[in-house]
Amino acid sequence: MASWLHAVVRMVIPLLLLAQGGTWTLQTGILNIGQEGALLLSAFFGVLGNHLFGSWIMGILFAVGIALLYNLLFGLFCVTLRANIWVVGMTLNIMADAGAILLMKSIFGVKGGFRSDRMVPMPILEFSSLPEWLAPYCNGYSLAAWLTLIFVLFCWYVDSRTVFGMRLKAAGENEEALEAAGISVSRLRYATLLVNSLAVGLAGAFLSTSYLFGFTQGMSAGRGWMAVGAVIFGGGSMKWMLGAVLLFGLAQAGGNQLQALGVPSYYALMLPYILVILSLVVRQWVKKRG
Amino acid sequence: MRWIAERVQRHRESLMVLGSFAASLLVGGGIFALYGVHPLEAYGHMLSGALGDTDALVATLSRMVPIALATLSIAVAFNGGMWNIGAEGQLYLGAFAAAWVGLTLPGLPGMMLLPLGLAAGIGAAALWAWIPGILSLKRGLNVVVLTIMLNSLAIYFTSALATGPYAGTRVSSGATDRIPEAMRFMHLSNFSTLNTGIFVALVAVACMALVMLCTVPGYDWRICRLNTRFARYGGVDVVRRQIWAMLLSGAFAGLAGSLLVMGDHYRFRVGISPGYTWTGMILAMMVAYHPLGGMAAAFVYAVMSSGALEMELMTDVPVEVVEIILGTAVLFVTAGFALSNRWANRLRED
Amino acid sequence: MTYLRMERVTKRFGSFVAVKDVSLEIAPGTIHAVVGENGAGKSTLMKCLYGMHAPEKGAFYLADRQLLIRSPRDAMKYGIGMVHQHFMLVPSASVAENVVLGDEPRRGWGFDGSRASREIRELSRKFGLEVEPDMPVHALPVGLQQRVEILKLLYRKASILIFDEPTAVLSPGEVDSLFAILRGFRKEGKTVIFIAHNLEEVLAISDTLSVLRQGELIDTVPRGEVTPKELAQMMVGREIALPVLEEASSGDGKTLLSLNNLSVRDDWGGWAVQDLSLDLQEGEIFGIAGVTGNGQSELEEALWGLRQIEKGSLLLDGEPLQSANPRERRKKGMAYIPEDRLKTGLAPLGDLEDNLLMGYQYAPDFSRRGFLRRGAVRSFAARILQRYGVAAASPRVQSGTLSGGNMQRLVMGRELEQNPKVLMVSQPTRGVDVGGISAIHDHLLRLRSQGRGILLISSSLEEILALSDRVGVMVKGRFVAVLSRREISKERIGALMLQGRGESAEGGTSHAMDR
Repeated sequence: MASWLHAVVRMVIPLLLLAQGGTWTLQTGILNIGQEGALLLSAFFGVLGNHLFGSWIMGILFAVGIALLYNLLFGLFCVTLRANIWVVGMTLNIMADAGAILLMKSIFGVKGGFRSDRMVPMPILEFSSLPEWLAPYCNGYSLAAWLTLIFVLFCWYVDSRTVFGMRLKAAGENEEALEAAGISVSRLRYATLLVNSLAVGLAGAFLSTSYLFGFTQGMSAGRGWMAVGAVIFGGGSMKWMLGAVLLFGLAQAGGNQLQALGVPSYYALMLPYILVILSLVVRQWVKKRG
Repeated sequence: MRWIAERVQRHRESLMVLGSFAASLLVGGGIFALYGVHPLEAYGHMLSGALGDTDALVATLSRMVPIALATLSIAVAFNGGMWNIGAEGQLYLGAFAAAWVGLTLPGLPGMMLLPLGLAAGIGAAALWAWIPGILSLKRGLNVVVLTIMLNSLAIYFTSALATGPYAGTRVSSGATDRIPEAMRFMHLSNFSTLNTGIFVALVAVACMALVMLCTVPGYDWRICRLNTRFARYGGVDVVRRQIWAMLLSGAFAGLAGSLLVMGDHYRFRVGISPGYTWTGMILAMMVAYHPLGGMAAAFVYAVMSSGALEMELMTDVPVEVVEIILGTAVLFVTAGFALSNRWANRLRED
Repeated sequence: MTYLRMERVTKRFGSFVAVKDVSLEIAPGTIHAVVGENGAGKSTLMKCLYGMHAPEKGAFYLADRQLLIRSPRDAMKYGIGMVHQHFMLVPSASVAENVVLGDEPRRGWGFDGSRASREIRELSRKFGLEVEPDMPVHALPVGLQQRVEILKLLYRKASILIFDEPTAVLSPGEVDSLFAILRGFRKEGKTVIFIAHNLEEVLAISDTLSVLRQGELIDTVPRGEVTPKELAQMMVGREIALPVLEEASSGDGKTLLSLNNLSVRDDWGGWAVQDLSLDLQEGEIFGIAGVTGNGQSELEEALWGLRQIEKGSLLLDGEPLQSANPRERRKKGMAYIPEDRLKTGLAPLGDLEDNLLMGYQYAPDFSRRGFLRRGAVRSFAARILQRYGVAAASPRVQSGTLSGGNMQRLVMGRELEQNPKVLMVSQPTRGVDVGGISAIHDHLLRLRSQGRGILLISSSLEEILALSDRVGVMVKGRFVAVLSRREISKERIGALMLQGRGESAEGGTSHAMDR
C-alpha cells in the first residue's frame, strides 16, 4: 500500500507542478502550450548544473533558470506582441527538443543520453521521530515531493486569500475591469509565467535527478502535454485541476503496474492518454448539459 | 516611389517570410560563430553535403518526400483554421495500415495491393484526423489537446502491434516483416531510399496546391482562417469546410506514412518517423501555410538537414542546429505578422 | 468644490472628426446634462476627460488648474470618475471585491475582505445606494449592478461623476431610484455629468444642458430657459428639411419581406425580440429607429440566419425563410450589410479581392466547376472599387488598413452588386466621413427607386428621418410606434424623441404624443 502511494506521488509530482503553474497562466487568459519543451530543457539543465557543480541544488537553479528564459521568450511573443499562441508554443516545443539534443552533443559529446558520476541525486527525506504506523507513508519521498506540496499550498493560499489571487481570477473573467482599475494585465501574465517557470524548473530537475537519473532524449515523454490536458480540464479552477492530475497520475502508475504484471508496455502506456481524452469528453458533455 | 510601395504591399506576406528566413540564417551564423566556425564555411558544407554529387542529391530528394507531404498536411489544416497537432499519430496509423494490408493479403496482385495499401493508409489517417475534428467542431473540445493525446495513442498502439502480433520474424524487435514485393515502390538508386513513390507524392502535392490556390474550397478555407465570423456571415458552411480540412490533412499524413512503408523501408517499424510532422509544422508556419511556399521550404529543409550531416562531420556543429534556425524563422514570421497587424490597427482607431 | 472647464477639445479618429473644438464649463454641485444624437460626440468628449482617449487638441481645467490626464487612473486622482454604459464587472466576484479591485484593502499579505465589506456597506448607506456587499455580482439585477459601478467611484472619493447613458439599461422604476441617488449627490456637493439622448429624462433631472451635434457644441442652457421642442431642434438641426422622397416608381405595394410575430432570444436566455411584425414593401425604405441594445443586433442576426427565430415566421416573396442559411438567403435575393464591419462584414487581414469575392464564389460567373476564375474576380473587384469610390492603392492591400468610410464603401459595393430584392443595412454611416455618408445615402435611395425594399437599422435619428418611408421605433425588442413618412412632421420629431422607455403599446403614436 505504501509503495503504491510512493509510486503515485512520483508520477504526480511533475504533472502537479506543471498543471498548477499552468492553471495560473490560464486564469489570465494564456494557455501555456510550451510546457513539454520547457520540461525537457529543464530536465537537461538540471543535469547540467548538477554535473558541473556536483550539487543537486545547482541542478535545480539551472533548471529554473532555463525555464525562466523559455517562459520569458514565450511571454515576449504571446503577451507583449500578441502573436499566435499555438504557433509560438509549438515552435518553442520543437526548438526545445532540438536544442536539448544539440546541447547534449556539444557539451557532453554524447547522443542518446547522459549521466555522470559527479551528479548528486536529490535527497529523499526521512523523518526519524514518526510513529511506526505512519512512517512508511511519510518517509521516503523525494525533497521535490515536499516542495511540491508546499508550492501547491502556497498557490492555494494566494488563490483564495490574497489580492493577487483575486486579480488573477478577475483577469480570466473580465480583462477590461482590471484595465479600467489601472491594473496591467500584461504584468499579471508575466508574473504567472514567472511562477510557472519555478514550477517547471523544479519538475524538470526532479525528472532528471530523482525520478530518473540522467538525461535521455525525449524524456519528458508527454508529461507536459498531460499537464496541459489537466489545465484545460480544470478550466482555471484549482480543485478540478487537482482532480485531473490525480486521475492521470493514478493512470500512469496503474500503467506501470500493468507492465509489471506482464501487459505489453505499449498498451500500458496508452492508458493515461485514453483517460485524458475520456475525461475531457465527459467534462464537455457535462458542461453542455448543465 | 508609389510603385514600390504598392509592390511591397501586394507581396507583403512573401517578403515577410523571406525576410524572416534571411534573419534566421543570420542567427544561425551567430550560432556557428559561437562554435568557432565561420558561418559561410558551415553553410557551405551544408550545401555541398546536400547537393555536391548525384548521390547526395538523391539522398536529399528522398528526405524531401515525407517532409513535403507532412508540410502540406499541416498547411491544409492550419490554412483552414484547424490546429491539427496530431499529424504524427496520423502518419503512424497510415503507415501501419498500409503495412497491414500487405501482411494480411500477401496473395493479391500488385495492381490491387498498391492502391489498396495507399487507400488503407490514407483512410486510416484521415479517420484519425476526423475524430478530433468532429469532436472539436460539434462539441467544442480543444482540438490541440485532443490531437496530441490521439498522437500518443496512435504511436503506442502501432508500436504495440509491431512488437506484438505483427512482430516480424528474423528481424530485430520493433519492426514487422517486409511487405510483399508486389506492393513495393521501386528504389531509384542503390544508395538511398528514394523511390518511385515520389511520383505519387508529386501528383498529390500538385493537386492539393491547385485546390488550395485556385478553387472555391481553397478560398473558403482561407476565409475561415482569416475571420470565421465573416465566413459564416458570407454563407460559407464553416463546419463542413473545416472537417474537410482535417480529413485532407490526415490523408496527407497518411500518404506520407504509406509511402514510408511502401517505398522507403518496405516494412513498418517503431519510430518510422523521426518527427517529420513536427518539422512539417515549423515549415508550414514559416511560409504562412502557402502550399507552394511549403514545397520550397521542404526543399530548403531537405538540403539543410541532409547537408547538416556533412557539416556535423566537418565542423562538430550538431545537426539539430537546423531546427533551431528554422524555428527562429517561424518566430520572426509570426512576430512580424503580429506587429504588422498591430501597426495596421493603430492606423485606424475605430 | 469643483469647477470644471474644457477648452477647445478636438478628437479625431483617422479622418473622422468626432469632437470639433468644444469648449464647455460645468458648475460645481450641479447636474449637467450633455445631450445629442448618437454619434454627436458626447461619449467621446467625456472619454477624453476621463483619460480613455487622447484628444488632438484641447485642455481640461479644474478650478483653473490644468489637468494632466493620460489614463482613467489619472482622472481618478483628480476626483473624476465615469460610469460606463457597458459595465466592467467581474461576475463571480462579490460587490465589495468588484468595488475595491485595484485599491484593495490589505491585512499583511492577504486581502482584507471584511474591511472591504464594511467600508462598502457604510458607503452604500451614506449615499442611499443600498446593495449587499457580499453578494456575487452576477446575481444582481442590472439596476443594482450599476450601483456597484457607482460605488467604485465613491470608494475612490470622486467628486465629479460622469454617467454615460445610464438609463439605457434601466426600467422606469430603476430610473427613478437612480435619479434620487443623483439628487443625493448634488446635495453632497458632488458634480454630476449626465450623457443622454433621451430628452424626457434629461429634462426631469438636470440643472443645465449642453447640446452637441456632429461633434460641435450648439449651446449650453439652464433647464428653466428651454422647451423640449427647442431642445429637439437643437439636437437634430435648425432646418429639419425632410428631403422630399419621390414616390417609389414601381410601387404597387407588393410586400417583399414579411416578418410575422418574430421572437428571438438573446445570449442569456432572455428575449431580445418579442412578437415583432412588419411588412416591407417594394420601393420602400423602412427605418428601424432606437437606441442600440434594444434587440436590433439580434433581429438582424435572426433575419440573416445567424440566430434562430424561436417564434413567428419570416417570408420573402411569400416563401418561408426562417430555416434558410445565409447562402440560401443570398440566393433568394436578400443582402445584409452588418453594423460591425471589422468583425462580421470583412476579413481585415485579407486583401480587398478576397473580401469582395465573398458571396459570389459559388456563382458561375466566378467559378467554373470549382475553379475560381481569377480574371473575372479581378475585374469585378476593380469595377466595385471604382464604382463605389473605394480609395485604395491596389486591390491587394489588406482591407483592415482602409479608413472606416472606405471599408463601408467596400462592403456596400459588394452587397449592392448582388442586386438584392431586399437589403438589410445596419448603422451604415457609423464612423464615416460626411462625403461618404451622402454617397451611401444616394446608393440606398437609388436602390429604392429601383423598386427594392430596404430595412434600415440606425441609431441616428437624422439618418432615419432622411431616408425612411416608414419608421418603426424599437424599444426592448418591440415596436413602440410605427409611423409613415406623412406622419413624421417637425412636431412628431420631438415627440418621437421623447418616446417612452419601454412600455410597449399598440398604436404607439398617441402614446408618444401624450408626453
